[in-house]
Amino acid sequence: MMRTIFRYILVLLAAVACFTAQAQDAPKDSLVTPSRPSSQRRITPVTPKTNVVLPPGKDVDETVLEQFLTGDTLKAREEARKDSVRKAYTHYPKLTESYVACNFADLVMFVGGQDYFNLDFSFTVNMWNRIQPVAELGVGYAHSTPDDRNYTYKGHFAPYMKLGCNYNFMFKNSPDYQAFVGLRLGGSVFKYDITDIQCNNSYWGEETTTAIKGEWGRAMWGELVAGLKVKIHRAWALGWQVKFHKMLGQNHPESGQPWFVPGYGTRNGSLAFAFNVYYTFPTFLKTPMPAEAEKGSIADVK
Amino acid sequence: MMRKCVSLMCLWAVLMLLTACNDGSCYDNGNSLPLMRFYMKGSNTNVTVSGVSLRGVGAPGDSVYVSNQAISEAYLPLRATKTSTQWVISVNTNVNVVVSDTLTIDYTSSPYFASAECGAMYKFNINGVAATHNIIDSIALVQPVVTNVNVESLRVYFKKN
Repeated sequence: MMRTIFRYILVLLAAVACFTAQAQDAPKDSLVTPSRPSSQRRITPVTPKTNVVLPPGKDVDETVLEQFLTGDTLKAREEARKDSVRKAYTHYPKLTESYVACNFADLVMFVGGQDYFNLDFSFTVNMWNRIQPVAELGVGYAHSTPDDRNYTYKGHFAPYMKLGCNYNFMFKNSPDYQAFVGLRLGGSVFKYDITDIQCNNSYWGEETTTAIKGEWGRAMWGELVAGLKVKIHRAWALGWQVKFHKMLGQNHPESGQPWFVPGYGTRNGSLAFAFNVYYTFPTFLKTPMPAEAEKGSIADVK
Repeated sequence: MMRKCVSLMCLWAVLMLLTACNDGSCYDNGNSLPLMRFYMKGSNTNVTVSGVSLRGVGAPGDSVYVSNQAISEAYLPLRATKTSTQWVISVNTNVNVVVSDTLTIDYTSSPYFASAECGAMYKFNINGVAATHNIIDSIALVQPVVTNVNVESLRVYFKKN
């Protein structure tokens, strides 16, 4: 009997000893999450990413490589970014191309019944496919006898000239397709007649016919131009232009202001339109500059 | 490519139509007429005078331009073929007595192109104005150049009753 009791006591003491030992070995958070067994804990080694110099890729500029080697990674990355941008779009040479254009929109309208027309030829130099100095030369003519008016207006053939510059917004693309805005300064000296002026004074019972002949006009104006140019075939292209113009200065004849100013149009309108046919000279066409060709220039994309 | 071209041509056509919008109206006078306004002596406030008649000297059939009306201003047509035009201004007073004065306007005329909408006409440059003084106190020439623009040219100051 005593022997059996002693055996139970030994077993009980052993159980208490085991429980006490387990309680001392267990981590403190096991009280918070007692369900997680200690055997599932993992320790993942962490390697800091800072101070690691990434190696430059292939075909990297020597300057960039040198900056990597000297440890100047920020500057190197900036240079690499610029280099990638340079390769993203074409850099065109200073003299990208040059072209002439003929604006015949008014001539078509004149044939269709309009009382006047301006016909001009322009010469444009496309620089870096971005800046485009323009010179325009043209002639204007008017002949109008309105149905319900008392006069005949005749503007003799007179020359006009415009100088200005365009800015091509699509400079990253091929010069075959352009969207641009520009400024022009135009001027003209012209002669005009107003004949068959019939004046009826009903109260005094007088009917007179008079004329204004050989009157000279001078005008200078400014234009804001927005236009498109689209290649049609080989060196030929078509273009549309919207022009907002404003008179900057003109003479004031005693006989009144002229109705039509060559190159400007009629006095009562501030908007004009042009329809151009372009011919691009082959001189500069697709001729990459050696320095630019290295940067992935015009030769790479055409 | 072809679709782009067609779209651009349509845009151009629409813009061309927009520029063609012009009503062709003349917002000034169709002729060069000097505008005469009435004032009382010593005042620069435009007044309406009742019983006024206007008649051009030498008008066909002695026709009356304004007949016994209450007016504050009047356009006086000038003769383009002459260098002087006379107008008789009559005022019917409260006691049914008509008092008249003769207004003489000296000028030079030249052809003038106003605009495409208003057309061409004569422009007058008034050199001098004179009047008798039965009821008119004085005449002032405000704007000697007469075109179709609606601007006061003459001021007629009446005597106070």
